[in-house]
Amino acid sequence: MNKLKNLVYPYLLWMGVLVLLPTLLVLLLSISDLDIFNLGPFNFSDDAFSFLGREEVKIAAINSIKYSVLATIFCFVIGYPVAYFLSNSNSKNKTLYVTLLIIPIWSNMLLRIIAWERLFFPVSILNVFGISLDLIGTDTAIIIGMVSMYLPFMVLPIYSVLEKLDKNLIEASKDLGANEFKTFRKVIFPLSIGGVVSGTIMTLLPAMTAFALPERLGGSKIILIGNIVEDYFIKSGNINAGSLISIILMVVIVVMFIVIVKFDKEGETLI
Amino acid sequence: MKKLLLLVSVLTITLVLSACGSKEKLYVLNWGEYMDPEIIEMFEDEYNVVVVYDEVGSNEEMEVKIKAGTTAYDVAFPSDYMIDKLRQQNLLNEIDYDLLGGFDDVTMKPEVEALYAGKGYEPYFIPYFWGTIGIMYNTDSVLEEDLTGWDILFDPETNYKIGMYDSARDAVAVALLSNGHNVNSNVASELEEAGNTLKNANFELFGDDQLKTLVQAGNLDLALVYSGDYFDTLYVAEEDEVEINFGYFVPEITNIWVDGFVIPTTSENTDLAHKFINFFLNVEVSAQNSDWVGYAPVLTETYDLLVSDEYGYDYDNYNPISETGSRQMFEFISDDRFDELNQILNAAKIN
Amino acid sequence: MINNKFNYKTILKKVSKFLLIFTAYSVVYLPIIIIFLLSINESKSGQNFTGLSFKWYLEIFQNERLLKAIMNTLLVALISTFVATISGTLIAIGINSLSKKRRIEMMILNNVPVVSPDIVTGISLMVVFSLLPLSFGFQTMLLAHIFFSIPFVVLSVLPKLKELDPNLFDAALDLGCNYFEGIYKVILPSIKTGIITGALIAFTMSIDDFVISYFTSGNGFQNVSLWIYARVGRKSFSPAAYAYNSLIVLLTIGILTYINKINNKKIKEN
Repeated sequence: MNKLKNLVYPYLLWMGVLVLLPTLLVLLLSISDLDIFNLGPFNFSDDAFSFLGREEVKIAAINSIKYSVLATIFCFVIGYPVAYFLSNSNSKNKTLYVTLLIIPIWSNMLLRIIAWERLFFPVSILNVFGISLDLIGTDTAIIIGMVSMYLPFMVLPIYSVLEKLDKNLIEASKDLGANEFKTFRKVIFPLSIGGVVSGTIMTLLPAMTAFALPERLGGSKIILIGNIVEDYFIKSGNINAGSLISIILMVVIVVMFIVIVKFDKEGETLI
Repeated sequence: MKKLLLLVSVLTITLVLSACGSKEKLYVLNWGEYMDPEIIEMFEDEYNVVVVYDEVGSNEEMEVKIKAGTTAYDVAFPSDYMIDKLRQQNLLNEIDYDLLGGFDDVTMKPEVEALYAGKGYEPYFIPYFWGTIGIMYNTDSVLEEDLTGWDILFDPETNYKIGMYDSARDAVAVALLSNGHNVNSNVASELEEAGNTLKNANFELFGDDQLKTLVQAGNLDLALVYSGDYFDTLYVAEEDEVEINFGYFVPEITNIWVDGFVIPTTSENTDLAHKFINFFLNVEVSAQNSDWVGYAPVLTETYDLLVSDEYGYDYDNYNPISETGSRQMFEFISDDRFDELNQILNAAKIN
Repeated sequence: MINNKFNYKTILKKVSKFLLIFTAYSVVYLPIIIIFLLSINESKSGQNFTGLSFKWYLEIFQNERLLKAIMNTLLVALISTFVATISGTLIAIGINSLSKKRRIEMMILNNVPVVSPDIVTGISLMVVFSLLPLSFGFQTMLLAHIFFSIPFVVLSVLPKLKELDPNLFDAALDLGCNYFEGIYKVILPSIKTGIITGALIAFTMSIDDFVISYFTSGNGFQNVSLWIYARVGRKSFSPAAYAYNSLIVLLTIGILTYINKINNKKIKEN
């Protein structure tokens, strides 16, 4: 058994180069004027920090939080009940129904975003049904798009957890006199928190950092933090400022996870 | 199980082999929809090379990609002021006219040469296309009498669905023009005024190549576009024999620009790059290209051919130079100044 | 009286249940349906329905650049899945044999690519790749895909390893197997389902990746997602992409239904 441990060392090296090294580099870029494409002598500087004060960055941060939280709430409100109904279903095609919800994930996300984009323009194939939507650039478009992309990611973890619930516990609760609602509130829901947390993370994070979705459905008017990062790295070459924003994102995510790990002592969510 | 693995391995090996090529490669960085793919194929066949073609949507993006050096571009197509900027950063090779035999048969239009004469970057590029910026409008929904000037784009009370080009220099330029200022203005008060003009405007969305299709479809009523956007859409509509429900309005004072072939210093194959440029110094090739792209050709012979009955391009506003209106060309601006313009554009977006 | 109230409540419950389920499936499937409709739409612009046509399905094979992009996508997916599955399995075996403390540390490291948003991973890799003597394009994209696939393989295989008897490997060694035989003949067969699941997840993640590929590609190397993103809204976009996507979805539904049938058969037989 001890010999097997050696299999891990190459991985340690691999992850060191591809996880730790980049993080250090990005950190270095954010606090200096190093030119990543023309390595040479550099000085520490706080130029990148001045970007944080810009209107566009502040608005992007607010937008990211606003839309991702709203989308996650909608995904939860729709997703939890659906996961619940599915897990309670006695149909023999239960797994098929769940799988059906997952299949769209195999469909290219960009194309799905483009499909929504086409529907949200006034002149679209919906005109055949007499419908004309004018939603490009609106909040609604972004939320609908996000829910469409991420709902399965909310349903799946919750469904998995609800499936594994010991049915005896529910029986016991009913035997002890609790009605359906109370059983749900005191027994089922608390036990499913792990799934809810997983689902929330898997919806919140991608939504917060999306850039193709707000770009196409928001008509380039609605800017999220992902758009800022893309702009700085690819379009305007402000690599140092972009790195700073990346570092801040990383810190936010780490903090989020620490909070979750403290909250979910069993460590079931991730490890 | 084993059969599946075998199948997968064979498939992978086939793919790997098909991906490997030993032909010479030419790396080209261009704007979207700015070169007839057929001509690229013709070049590949004639010289037995592979053209690797990347597209960007703005001069600044082009600059970032060239500077990054992760792809060793042989040919790029920046605009006037960006050519100036790149050569000032020593990122461009001088053009070796000895390698451009095509000039024996064709000449550059003197009006084009006049645009950049004496500005210092002449040795570093060969003009590709030139044009103006203007307003493309949907004739079904827009009243001609409303087309008074650039200000129609910026009316805060507008009922029209307006699209703005997602380019800092162009967006700010038209705002400056609509306020009566010069497109290269660096006067703080004028820029602030332009910023407010943009912020107070009511844009449906920002985009680039898709603006013209949106106007044609009726999803936008008006949009800031480049001249070729309009002519390209016009030509395709004529060919497909569909109703032409759009027009091109050029306000009296507008920006005139010229894009050119440049050979970045990253190029590892300047000979092939020159051959590529030379390929277009040919009346047939440039005529076919101009026909596909929609912009006005820079070669005298090609231009005359395009406006003749054979191609029929003698439309209004096809000639970027106008007899009545005046034209302003973009000049070089520093990174800081561009950053300022970019911030103005972003401020307009979030409002 | 009580009967009426009861019915009202049940109807309300049933209606809301139906609405929720309908909304959920609709919002997720509407784009898929639209993509399919656009793939059989004669018009190229897709702004109105001009007629039924399957020409875009043929176009997949005629559009040279799209075909190249599809080949690239498959190439990267196959190789990265292959490499990630083998490495991931071996790494999982290694991690499983660590002490609890070390195991948790390694798992935190392993999960970094899993929980990081695409854009952060993409940026980080782009930055580090520009230091390494690699050419941006196939090499970097492949490396990036292997990078984000291995953790998923590890996460799939590890639970199966946990179920194994810890003494199995030692017993095999005692009985004369060498190190590799021990892994190959004893451990692997028992964790087969975990390996297959891991491989499937890795393949799926690679086929559809956009953001990470966007930042780690170059030199004109495009996978399908990059092909689409470069052309959306432009003349060079082709509804053949919709056709390709519809085919993939149909293929996936086909495979899943087939697996479902086999499983039902197995359940029946037992």
